[in-house]
Amino acid sequence: MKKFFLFSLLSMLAVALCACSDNEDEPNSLLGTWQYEQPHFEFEYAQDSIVISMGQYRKMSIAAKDLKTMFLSMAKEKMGDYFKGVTFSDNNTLKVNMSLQNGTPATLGATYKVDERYIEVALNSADLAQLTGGIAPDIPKISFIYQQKGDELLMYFDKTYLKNMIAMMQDQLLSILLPSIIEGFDQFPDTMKQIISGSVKEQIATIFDNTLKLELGFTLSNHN
Amino acid sequence: MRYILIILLFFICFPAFTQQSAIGSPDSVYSIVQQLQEVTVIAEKRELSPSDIPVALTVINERSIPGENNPDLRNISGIVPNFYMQEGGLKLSTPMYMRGIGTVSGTPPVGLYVDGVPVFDKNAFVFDLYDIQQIEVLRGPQTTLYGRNSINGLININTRQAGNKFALRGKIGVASYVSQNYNLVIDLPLKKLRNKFSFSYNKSRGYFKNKFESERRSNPTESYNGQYQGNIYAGRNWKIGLGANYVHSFDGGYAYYAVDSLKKERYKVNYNTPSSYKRDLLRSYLSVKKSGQHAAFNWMSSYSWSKDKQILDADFTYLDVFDNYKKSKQHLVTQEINLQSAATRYWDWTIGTFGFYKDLENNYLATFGKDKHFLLPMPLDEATYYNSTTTKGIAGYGQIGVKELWPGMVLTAGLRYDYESVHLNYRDSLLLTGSSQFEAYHSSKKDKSFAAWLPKFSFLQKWEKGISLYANVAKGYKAGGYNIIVNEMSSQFVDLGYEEEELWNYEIGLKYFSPRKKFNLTAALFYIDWKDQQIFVMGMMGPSIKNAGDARSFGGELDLQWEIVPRLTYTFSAGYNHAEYYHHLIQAYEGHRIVMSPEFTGHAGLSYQMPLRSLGFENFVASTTVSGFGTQYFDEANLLKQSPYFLWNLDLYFSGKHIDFHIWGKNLLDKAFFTYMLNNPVGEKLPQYYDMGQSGSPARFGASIAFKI
Repeated sequence: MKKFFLFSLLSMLAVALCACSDNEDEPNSLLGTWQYEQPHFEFEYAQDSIVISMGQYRKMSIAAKDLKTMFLSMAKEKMGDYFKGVTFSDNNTLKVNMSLQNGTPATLGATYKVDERYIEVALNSADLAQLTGGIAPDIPKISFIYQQKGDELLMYFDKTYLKNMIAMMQDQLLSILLPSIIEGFDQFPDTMKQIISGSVKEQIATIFDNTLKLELGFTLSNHN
Repeated sequence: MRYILIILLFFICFPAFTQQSAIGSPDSVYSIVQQLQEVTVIAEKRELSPSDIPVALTVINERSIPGENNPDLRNISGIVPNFYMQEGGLKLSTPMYMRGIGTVSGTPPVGLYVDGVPVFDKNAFVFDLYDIQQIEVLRGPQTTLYGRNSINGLININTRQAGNKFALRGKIGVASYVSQNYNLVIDLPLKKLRNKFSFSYNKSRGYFKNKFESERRSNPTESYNGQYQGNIYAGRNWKIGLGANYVHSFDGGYAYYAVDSLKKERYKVNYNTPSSYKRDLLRSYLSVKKSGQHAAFNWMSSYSWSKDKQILDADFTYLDVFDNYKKSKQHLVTQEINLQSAATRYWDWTIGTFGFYKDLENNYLATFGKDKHFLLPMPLDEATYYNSTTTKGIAGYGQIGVKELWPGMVLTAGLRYDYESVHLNYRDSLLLTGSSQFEAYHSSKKDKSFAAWLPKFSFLQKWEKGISLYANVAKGYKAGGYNIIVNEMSSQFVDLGYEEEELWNYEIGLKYFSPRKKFNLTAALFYIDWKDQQIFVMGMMGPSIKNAGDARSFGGELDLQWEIVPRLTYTFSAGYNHAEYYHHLIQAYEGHRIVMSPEFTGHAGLSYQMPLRSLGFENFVASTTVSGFGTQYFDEANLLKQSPYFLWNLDLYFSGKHIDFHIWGKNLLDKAFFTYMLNNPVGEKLPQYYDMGQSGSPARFGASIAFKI
């Protein structure tokens, strides 16, 4: 009996000692420099047009297919001027490669984490302060869905993420968007501005509910 | 005040009243000093006397705990040097600290075993201590023999074993705030099977009032407990034990409110959502022990189940900002087998193995009301969270003691290998304002594993005159794990994991047990170096644990029992610790004191006992004690602070063959103090609610009568 118990104990000890960690490092296929190729925008809407009512003052209507064309053309023109790509330096840090307004190249440092679906990026506050020429705003971490196929890397935000981000920043976004789409908005009386902003805010959730698909991002390539 | 005068008058007059009827009999007098010299401690997995254990330890029985008809572990704060467990907190989250080491939330720093069955989670740490044989509290890491959880100490509770004769004990108690306590214990032997059945019921109205609910008591409590213990003593030194313990409890909600308001009205809170915590616990075990001439074999299997539900007004104000609803369920299976050699003159050894399986499921709902703009930067109505973790672990350990290399010397070395893996399944979803349905936001399935070697070394030198000197070095370890909810709303990346923490404890100590059984002394000095400390951080959506950095703690402890003159005993226990961060994620906190741990704990008392024969009583003990706690900081910035405070208690205890009577008073001077403080996230926009706190218990009085057959 004693031998049986001793054998059982020794066996369990042997199992315990042989147990090994399964946290083995896999090679990071993202390492290297990825150049910006083109914007990525996918959009499907439940109806033919997106209608936004601005209180009793006016209604705005955009055809869903026109929105996609408009956005891609704007993004192709603007994004490529400033955004040049990403260099994944090691398993924790990356650099965003940019071009300033005067054409001078610049980099913005960041840390990143990656799992099988997401890349999370936290921009470096000091680098941001230097670029903006002042105190850097407190930028929270952001995450991209990514798909890597050979030497092409797609990084984008999906509908759920954009809906949440817009909800977090809706006041700031509306203060930029409304003056650009409504002529003379800045001259409107404050009461009218509040009614229009409030009305648009209330419709954002409905617009997202009618959005069947939304992806916003960019494609990079690594042809080394 | 009136009650204090009545008790004092009774205390002064009673000896005069009983003097003529007192019949002395040394055997009927209860001696604290003698009891501590004769007790055996089994926390080292073999029976040893306290002087043979190279670790600072305290042994307590039910009567050592002042006041309370239904004490629990919170009441031993201060009695054990450098041990602090917040009194008055909910059973869900009662922070615990040993030598400055601990955490507000997450796995406690001290392991807990009840009759050899491990209790893993802090929500099961608070339960009635009745029918207890003794409580052993060992300070410093016990991870070599006990593994996870016991990073800086161990509490080993032994309930009284079922007797071999029929016995019945019943107790009825009442106390302030309409508190009632009943318990019943029956020993029922049937041939070789010794059975013990226990039942207890407690109810209290509570002392906090909620202004929002028209002054309704906001912290009532109610609980009941049923236990069964059966032991079979079979031939050839076999002992088979089985037991089950079920507890149901209900606590009225948290009693936090603005500190400035509580300073004027200590027990008035004002929050709109009735809050509560309901818990069901079941613990069962089967143990087998075979004692042989050369070795003893021990087998312990246990199964525990728990289910709880919490409703919480998470902003703790009358505004409709943020409420939490949490449900959790847990299954835990443990298995331990060990072999111990019989103690010989020159050596003894212990080897063993331990394994466990734990399945924990949490469901959590956060709702945001019409005043949510005081907290949230976004229009969010509700968020749901599902978090399931499955943890498996296995360990092997061994310890050997070598004796008499020098007369009275014992050298001990022990080693444990501990491995565990945890699997996480997590998802959450959000309902934004105006949306018709929830949107899945975070989702992840991940795995982590942790492994550690856990050594200990000790030296003990014992002399015949009752003096022993010891030194020990031991490693403490707590595995990492996963937090319950994701606080990061700007990213969909799920990063819930936190890493293990470890510490090294260096200790020297002295123990003296006087041969004439009049004086006991235990003293110790320690230094702890604590790496990758897991700290509690309050996020926007809820709490989380992070590895914050490194800390150190050093200090000393003293435990003394002295029978000054026959029947008059002085007890004193004190602990000092200086615990601070020396590396921290936030550099500004380096050099700051560790959160919640009091700088010192103290407990001093005088106890007078005398035999008597009157009204069915045979023995009378009157004792007065003072408990004290040093400065506590409740945040890492060290801005929220409770200054040192002292609480005075009185106990009168009459015991006889068939009847016991107990009167007590606790915090007799009704000292005001805060037992917890926090920074409320709502306070960023509502500064009057930024510093929140909970008032400590007021003066309370009680009495109980127990019948014994």
